Amino acid sequence: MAISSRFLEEANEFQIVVTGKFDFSLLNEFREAYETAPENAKKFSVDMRSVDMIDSSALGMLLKMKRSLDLADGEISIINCNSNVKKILSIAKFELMFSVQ
Amino acid sequence: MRILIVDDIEKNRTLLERFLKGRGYEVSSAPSGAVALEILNEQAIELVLMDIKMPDMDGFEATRIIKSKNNDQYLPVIFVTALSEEEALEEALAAGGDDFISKPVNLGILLSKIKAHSRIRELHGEVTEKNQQLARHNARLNREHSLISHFFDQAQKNCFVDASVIKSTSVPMSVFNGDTVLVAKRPSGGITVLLGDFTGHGLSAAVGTLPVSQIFFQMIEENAYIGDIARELNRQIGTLLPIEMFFAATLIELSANGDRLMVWHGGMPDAYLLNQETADVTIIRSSHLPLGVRSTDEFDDSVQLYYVNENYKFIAITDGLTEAVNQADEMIDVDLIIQSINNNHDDILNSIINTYQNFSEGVPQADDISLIELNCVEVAGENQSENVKKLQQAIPWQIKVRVEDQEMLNDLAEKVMSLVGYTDVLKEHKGIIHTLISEMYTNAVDHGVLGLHGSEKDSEEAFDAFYAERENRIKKLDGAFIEIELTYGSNGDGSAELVIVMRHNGNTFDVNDKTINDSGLHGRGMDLIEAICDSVIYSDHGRRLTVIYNIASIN
Repeated sequence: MAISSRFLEEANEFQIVVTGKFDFSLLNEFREAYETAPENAKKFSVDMRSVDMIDSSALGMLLKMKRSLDLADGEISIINCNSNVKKILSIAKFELMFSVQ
Repeated sequence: MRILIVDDIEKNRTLLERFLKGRGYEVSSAPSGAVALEILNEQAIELVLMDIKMPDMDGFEATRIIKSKNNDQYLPVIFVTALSEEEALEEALAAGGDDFISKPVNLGILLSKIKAHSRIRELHGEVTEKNQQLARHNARLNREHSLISHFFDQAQKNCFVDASVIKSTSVPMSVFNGDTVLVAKRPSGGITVLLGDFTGHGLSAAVGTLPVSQIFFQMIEENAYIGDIARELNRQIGTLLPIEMFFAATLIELSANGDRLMVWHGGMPDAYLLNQETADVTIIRSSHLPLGVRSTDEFDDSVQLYYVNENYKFIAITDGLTEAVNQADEMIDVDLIIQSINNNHDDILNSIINTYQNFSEGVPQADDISLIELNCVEVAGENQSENVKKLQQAIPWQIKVRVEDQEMLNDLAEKVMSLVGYTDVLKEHKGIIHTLISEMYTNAVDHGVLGLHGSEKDSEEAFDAFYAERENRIKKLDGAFIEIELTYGSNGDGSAELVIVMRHNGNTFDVNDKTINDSGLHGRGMDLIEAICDSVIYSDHGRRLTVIYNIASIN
């Protein structure tokens, strides 16, 4: 399973952890993950700690998530990125729409 | 049993000798102290009957020498004294004599004294043997201790050490600590800490540390999430250790930039989160059972999340401290701990230990005590800086891969990367190069060979349809190919470049038409390639794409 997700009730945060290669092969799994987020979730994070490669379709999936959950800029945190992933996100100017850490 | 009779008067010796031999004893005799010592050296004597007044060396002197030589074995010396010598008794005993019998010798009393001392000698022999066994056991135990210490040192060796991030203190009860403190930096950055306490203390508790540290560090290598680490530890401890042994533990994960603290807290005393600015202390209560208690199905991996910054410190303590009692058998109060945290923000651990020591009023420690303090600061991932020398020394190489028709169903980028992965110089760029090749290959297959358009991927339904159509078209291919060629070479200045050429025999397009890069999900791919590479050139009517990626250009 490349994607796991959980809702941390006390903090009101919905977390998605992606592992391995983040590309179009995860399209459905990723969408199913954020679709299970409870209505009352206030914060969202996508944990990239074990993502070593991200491609343009993953960028598209992140944008879709933002749009589909109707979230404002910065409401989704993309966390624990390695420098390669950060570089790709920065090239795509994702800092403007996500909180990239 | 052989008895030595020491007497300068032959008549006395003969009398005793005859009597003792008649009772089944073996007998040697000596006319002086000096001769007695010689006989003792040569024969296995088990009891000495000693006269006092003798020429040359008297009985006192002979006894002192005998006793000084015989440390390990009990060799009883019984003085045979005339009544007129009674005042000499004190000296006889001081010389090391074990007993005395008066002259004229009452043979019945002599016999019972010999039997009594013979019994003492036997007991003494047993005790000596036991002592030797004990000494051997002790020596072996010491050897084993040092061996086990070595294991523990190895287990701890991998720990991340940086006092500006994490501090820990332990007060073990015995040589081995049943408490465990493990700290690791995740490859992608950030810190994961484990503070745990096995049931009991000492070696039996400490053995559990070995599998725990092995699992912990291995999972950290994989950037594992603390909930998953807790789950795996729970499974392994439940399997490996006897049922009565479990592991109370706090797992803490601080994100790479130090702004999120996640805690899995099971069976441990309260932990504390201090905001140094406001001096507020949040109490974090244990929300799970200790590890190794629940079955995997019942296990709860949920964590508590706190938003923190560099003003925050996380403090956790094992129950050796919180369950310590004072003379009145009272346990330490939470307020006292919070107070000691706020006493000195720069040295919290010592402040807590001092509070504990004052409180306990000298009541001996009943369990191992460990404390940790985690500073919520940014901890960057592995160093990705360039090694210029390494780049200069690397030999140039070239890889060429060709796929035809149905082979295009494979993820070529992945396969090429498994080849490139062996090259040391590209290690730190793997993720970027993987993205690059993947984007180029996708473009070549989708647009070049199959003639599909990116805009068809825009909606979700269309996306699925797109991939179905893609697969369909690949299966029907006949005579199509894609070639990828990677050329690595270093420049004199320490930089190096990777030239990637992707070539196919499919559709052409006008390389000067900028509108070809449509927007939407796909267009981003080409933008990425252009942003990543120093040079991006289409040729052969769009059938050949050549990019140059500068290895030193990434920062």
